[in-house]
Amino acid sequence: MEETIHINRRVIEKCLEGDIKAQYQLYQQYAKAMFNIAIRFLNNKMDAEDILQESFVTAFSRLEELQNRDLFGSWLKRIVINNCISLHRKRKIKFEEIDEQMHDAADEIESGIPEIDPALVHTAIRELPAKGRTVLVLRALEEYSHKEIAGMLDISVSTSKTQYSRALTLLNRKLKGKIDAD
Amino acid sequence: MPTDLEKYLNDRRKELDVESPDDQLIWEGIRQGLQGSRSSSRKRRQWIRIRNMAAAIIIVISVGYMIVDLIGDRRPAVSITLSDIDRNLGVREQEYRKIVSFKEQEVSAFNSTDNMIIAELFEEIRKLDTIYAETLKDLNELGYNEQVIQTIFDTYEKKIYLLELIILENNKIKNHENEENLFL
Repeated sequence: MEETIHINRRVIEKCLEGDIKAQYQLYQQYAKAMFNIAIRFLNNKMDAEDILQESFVTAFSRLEELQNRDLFGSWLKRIVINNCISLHRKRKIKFEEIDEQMHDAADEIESGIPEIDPALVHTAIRELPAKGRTVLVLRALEEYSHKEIAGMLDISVSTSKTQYSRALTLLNRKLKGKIDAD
Repeated sequence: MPTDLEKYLNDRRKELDVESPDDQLIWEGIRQGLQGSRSSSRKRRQWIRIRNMAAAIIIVISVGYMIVDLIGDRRPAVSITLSDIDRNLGVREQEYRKIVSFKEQEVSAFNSTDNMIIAELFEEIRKLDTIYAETLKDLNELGYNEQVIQTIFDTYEKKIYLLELIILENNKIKNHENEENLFL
């Protein structure tokens, strides 16, 4: 990890000098992870490719604004997530308040998740409704707090929690369905 | 307290990254973006994909024609079909025709003028149909010739692929519309 950080510092320095090979090196290092974040948000390969491309262009264009070069990965991830949320907003997907009664759905989560193929889980996440999927990805995979998610999506903390628990329940059901189908 | 599912998602986070982007196209788009190109990145990528696919089709068919021209023993025109040459070839062609017909019915309702990509794909299909008609003429002139037969089946496969791309593109448009209206 420490070594990766030092390599990144050198590569970023070269990127700042306009070194295309260094840019490509950073692209190769982060593209797959960022693409998977985007596709889980957007559930569409072409949209995810657009976001990936735009995010790298933004990152390389504004690289000098990055104070701590060790945090390039986190910074790039935040650009990708912000771009995904912006696209949702452009498409008028609103993360508005929802009925508190829906919160009960969380109780349906059962214990004992067996060994599931991660590809199945990835597919099941993609199949979730857009709003729940967004909150679930931010909370469970990207480890943002409900307070942070509320700020990013312009919703209340309560709505973030409700959307999250409902998405988790839906994901649980989908996975059980996929396991039973196998 | 995290549920088992949350624990799974947390523990196996990196393994969930199962999909890969088209690096060549994305990187090309990034480079152009950094150089200040303002044209739509998606349209450019889609256009490159179609252009590459069309180029591949043309190369395959052209090579087929070149080989036919080189080794072909031109005979007087005789009206024959693949089933006349070989029953199995006829059966195989019928199967392709059924698939093409099924997919053509599915795409017949799409409005190609509304979407640039769909319009381009329809145009590629039109070119393929012309090539197919020419190849059938060759079949009648040459009789049994493996390269001609291969070219005929290639055109069926490419046509099916193009029709599937049209269906996918249309589904994508529908999904966008549905997703906009989808609420938890």
